[in-house]
Amino acid sequence: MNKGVTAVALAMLIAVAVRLNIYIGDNYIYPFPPASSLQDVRDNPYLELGGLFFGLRSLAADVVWMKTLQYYGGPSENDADNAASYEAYEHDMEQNVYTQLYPLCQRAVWLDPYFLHVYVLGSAALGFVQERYEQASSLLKEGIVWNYNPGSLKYWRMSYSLAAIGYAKARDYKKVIEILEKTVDPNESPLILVRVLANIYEKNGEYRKSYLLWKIIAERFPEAGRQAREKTTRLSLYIKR
Amino acid sequence: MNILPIAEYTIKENIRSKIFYILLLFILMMVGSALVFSSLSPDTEARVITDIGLACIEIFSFMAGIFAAVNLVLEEIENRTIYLLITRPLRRWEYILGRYLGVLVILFINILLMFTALLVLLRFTAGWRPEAMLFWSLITIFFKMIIIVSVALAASLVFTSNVTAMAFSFFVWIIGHFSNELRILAVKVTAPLAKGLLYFLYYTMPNFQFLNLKDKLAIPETMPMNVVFAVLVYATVYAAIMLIIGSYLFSKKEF
Repeated sequence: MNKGVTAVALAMLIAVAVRLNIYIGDNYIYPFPPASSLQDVRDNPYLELGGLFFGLRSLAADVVWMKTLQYYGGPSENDADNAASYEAYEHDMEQNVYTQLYPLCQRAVWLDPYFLHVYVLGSAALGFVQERYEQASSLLKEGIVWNYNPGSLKYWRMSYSLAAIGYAKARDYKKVIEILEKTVDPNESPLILVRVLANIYEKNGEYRKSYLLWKIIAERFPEAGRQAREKTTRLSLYIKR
Repeated sequence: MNILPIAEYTIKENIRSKIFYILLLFILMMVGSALVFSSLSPDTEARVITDIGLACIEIFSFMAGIFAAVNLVLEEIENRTIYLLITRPLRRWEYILGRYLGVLVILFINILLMFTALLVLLRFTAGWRPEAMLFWSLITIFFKMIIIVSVALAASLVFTSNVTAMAFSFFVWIIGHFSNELRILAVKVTAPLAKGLLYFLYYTMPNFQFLNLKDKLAIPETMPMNVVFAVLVYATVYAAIMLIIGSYLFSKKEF
């Protein structure tokens, strides 16, 4: 290799690489919050570290979300054998308080702030079920900030959810139902959202609608079968009255 | 042109070393994880399968790539088969480029087959619908390989040790994914020496975060095409720099 030509070619390529690095750096939007913004990781920071070091934050967020679902779902009638793994949260589950629900959702969206399911489902569980309206609103507001785009469906789903949480806090169930009926499709939406709508129908005295939803839940989600059977039995009594 | 026969020889060599067994491992992992995760989180099944699939494609290709790259020249020196080659009318940079291209072809085929397996799985489990960003993610994974294989090849010629070259490539891979944090740290740090060192690392290490389009699957609108093309050119230029360094080092070697 000709030394002179090689040196010139190398120098030119390095200059191009640095220039490109600057150009891309100015135009590239880093999708995730920086590592320094991580406030608190109570246990098992390996997911965060793995996500950061190997560029796999989205996958790490999936894993945190699945942990959240396992924690919040708890051992159902179908996986009683797994009960031992939930020992750490036994007290939470007995009391139905789920203190770790909000921190787990925060961990998931810190890893991937575009994870719509965490905002919508997490806030539904926090707001409508746990009645922790401030945490639910705060989670949704964070989602709206990260996904601010009034032209996208994502943005409106979160905005609707935030409004519904606000009405739930004010105990205006009629308004909550109005919003949820627009956003929840009993045949498509996740269990938690359909369950929330069914419970709010019941709270608002709309027993027949609630009964029908629980019937759908029993068909679509075998894991919620026991709860759905109990509900339909009870609601059928109200309907007869 | 001596590059093509060298590349062909490298491809055959890699096929003989059963590199495609990685595909079997990939398919097993993908099917297993799809079954597990679809039961754990049915609402996010498509997202989880896509994330795991792309992560596996990247990690398996990375491992296969650096393993093949560091052994390319060192094994030939160790086995003394290099003497047969350098006695022929073959320029040393042609040898390096041919070997490099051979590894890239093998990785490209591997990535393509793994991606096909992922698409089939997505189609049959989560009712996949095509999204342009998914294909761009795959392309940028390949461009990450273009960089890391060139780094591993150059490192093998600097360190002349497989283990050290692999460890160095691994370090570059991590630092490259940590580049945004390096830049933020460089801005925050006040000590001039540390600041200089951080900026030096930021500009000299390959920025793999630019090529992480799998992070942008949910927000494709934030990745305009001019930036995508700039990123692809950046990867190619970076690999060219590493290859020139590698070729230069190889040309200085005495056998």
